[in-house]
Amino acid sequence: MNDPVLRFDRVSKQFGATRAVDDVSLEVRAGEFFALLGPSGCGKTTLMRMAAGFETPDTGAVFIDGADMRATPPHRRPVNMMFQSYALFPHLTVADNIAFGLKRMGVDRATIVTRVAEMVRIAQLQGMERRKPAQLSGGQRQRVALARALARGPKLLLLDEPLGALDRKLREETQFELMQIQKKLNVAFLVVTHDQDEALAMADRIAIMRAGRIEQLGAPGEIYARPRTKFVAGFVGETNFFEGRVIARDAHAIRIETPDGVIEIAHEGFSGDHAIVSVRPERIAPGGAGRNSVAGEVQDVIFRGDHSLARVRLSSGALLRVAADAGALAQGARATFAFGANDGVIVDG
Amino acid sequence: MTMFARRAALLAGFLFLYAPIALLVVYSFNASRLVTVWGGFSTRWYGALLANEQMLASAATSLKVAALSAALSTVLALMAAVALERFGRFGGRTLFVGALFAPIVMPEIVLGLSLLLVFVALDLPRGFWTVVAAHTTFSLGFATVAIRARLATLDRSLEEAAQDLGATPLAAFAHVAVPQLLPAIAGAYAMAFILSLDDLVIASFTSGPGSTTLPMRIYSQVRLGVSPEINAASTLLLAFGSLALGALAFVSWRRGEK
Ligand SMILES: Nc1ncnc2c1ncn2[C@@H]1O[C@H](COP(=O)(O)OP(=O)(O)O)[C@@H](O)[C@H]1O
Ligand SMILES: [Mg+2]
Repeated sequence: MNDPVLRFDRVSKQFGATRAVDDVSLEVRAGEFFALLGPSGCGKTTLMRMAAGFETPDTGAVFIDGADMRATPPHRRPVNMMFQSYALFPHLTVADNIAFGLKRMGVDRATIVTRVAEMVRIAQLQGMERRKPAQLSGGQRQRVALARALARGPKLLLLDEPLGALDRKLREETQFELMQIQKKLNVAFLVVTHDQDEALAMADRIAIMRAGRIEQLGAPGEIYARPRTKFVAGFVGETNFFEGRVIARDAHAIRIETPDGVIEIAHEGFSGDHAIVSVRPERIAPGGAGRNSVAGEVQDVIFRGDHSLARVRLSSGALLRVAADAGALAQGARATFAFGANDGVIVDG
Repeated sequence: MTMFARRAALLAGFLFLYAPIALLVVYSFNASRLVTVWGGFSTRWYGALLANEQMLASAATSLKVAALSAALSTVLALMAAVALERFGRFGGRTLFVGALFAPIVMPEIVLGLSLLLVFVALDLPRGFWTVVAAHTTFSLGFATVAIRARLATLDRSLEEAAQDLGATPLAAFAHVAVPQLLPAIAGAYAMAFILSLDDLVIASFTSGPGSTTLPMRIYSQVRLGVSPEINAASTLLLAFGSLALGALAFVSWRRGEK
């Protein structure tokens, strides 16, 4: 394996009383699509700005391509950033916006013209070259910002909420475009987002951030299936939590006393005497047989096209989310719901 | 209030403000030598003015002083605005702000007198350059206010984007911030130009032989009695000021069009 394009080594950053970034270490590998996912205000932008050079870590170091960046100002760093607000230059045309970074590199005019044309083609901006940013739609502006940031051919592109300003329909389309461009140019992408669907759909690897710390890092499937903490389980996808005292255990399973009855869950070396279990809605079957079953009344059903999501009021008063075939559950019905010992994951509080 | 009363009040207001000026312009085209008697339309006083070398020399001095002091003050104002908006809290900032804006509130006569004292103490011969320096000092505060107001509203991420694309902080400012500041810079220049063109008090204290400005010349002639020639000179001064304002309005209108 070659060097990671970007490495944070135990970086921290304090703003007054806020610890925006707290002892973060992570690596972005060459050519990968890496997503930083977390709720708003958790420090994602600050971490990204440290890679671009606009914030200096209080402690720790940032390495790009193996080189320590502590003394390197933004304009000499071999990465580019796509700003959350796009930050297009309002007085320049689309072509001049894209050419801006090339002109600073001191390449000759012919190369600039060719390169701009290439970026215009990749970002599908043909015919817009002479327009000013004010004369573009939101989607077009987003593509200009992307083209401008990619024009210098960086090995790593930093994207701060790249889809945040787009409407829902355009967002999905743009997701695929971003992924295609990323694979085609073989640039590593570090994307900041607070939208879990976006991260799950696009990224090769995801780091979940919470209050300045990385809570879990891994492939999307792994994070979804094996969340390590209650926060990660709840933030990535929908889930149900069962919580209680451990009343029995053997090498493979523990039994937990919850307000909705005793449940049995598989474990690997769990030693605590209080456990929190996350069970995804699609792992729970209405009526079906399973090691664990709970009973309740269907409070409401949300139609989701291929399936429905029902919210069930359990005897303890808690709400259970259950995914079921569309039309299988009716509002007001009483039913039992079952899941197996392997359908739940024990998470930290 | 009725519609009619409102109209009348507005008219009275405009009359109060502009009737004296209109009168001055009209009488500058008076054929008669007597200031208060209309003797028919004529441009003879403009002809006389063109033949009056003293008057012409003063007009040239005034325009040069205005152009130069406005340029100096705009450049300094841009630098001061950057210092105030971008450098955070540096040592002596409060003093700097006070020094910068004091001439705005200080009576002109005090400013003129104190500048005179400085020039005397430094043993500087008073003349063209002392007036330029004095007017630069005088208009710097106004020009800074104009530029700083715009600078404060600029989106900083634009300059960051420029730096991210390889521009040094200075180049980012020049390529990205300055183009957006241009209307404010033009406004600051026009304001400084008009302030200088218009000034009598400070120039009286700081000018020397051979650098009499137009307002000083007009004032000294009026003391010998108002002549139609003075009306013509004042009308020209008015025209220059209006032209500068018109150019400024045109620039900002063109900007708005785009
Ligand atoms: N320049 C700054 N000055 C003071 N506080 C800041 C600054 N930038 C960010 N913060 C604070 O740091 C925290 C993390 O912010 P940010 O990195 O923008 O979060 P995110 O991008 O995840 O929404 C927030 O509490 C924010 O208010
Ligand atoms: Mg952010």
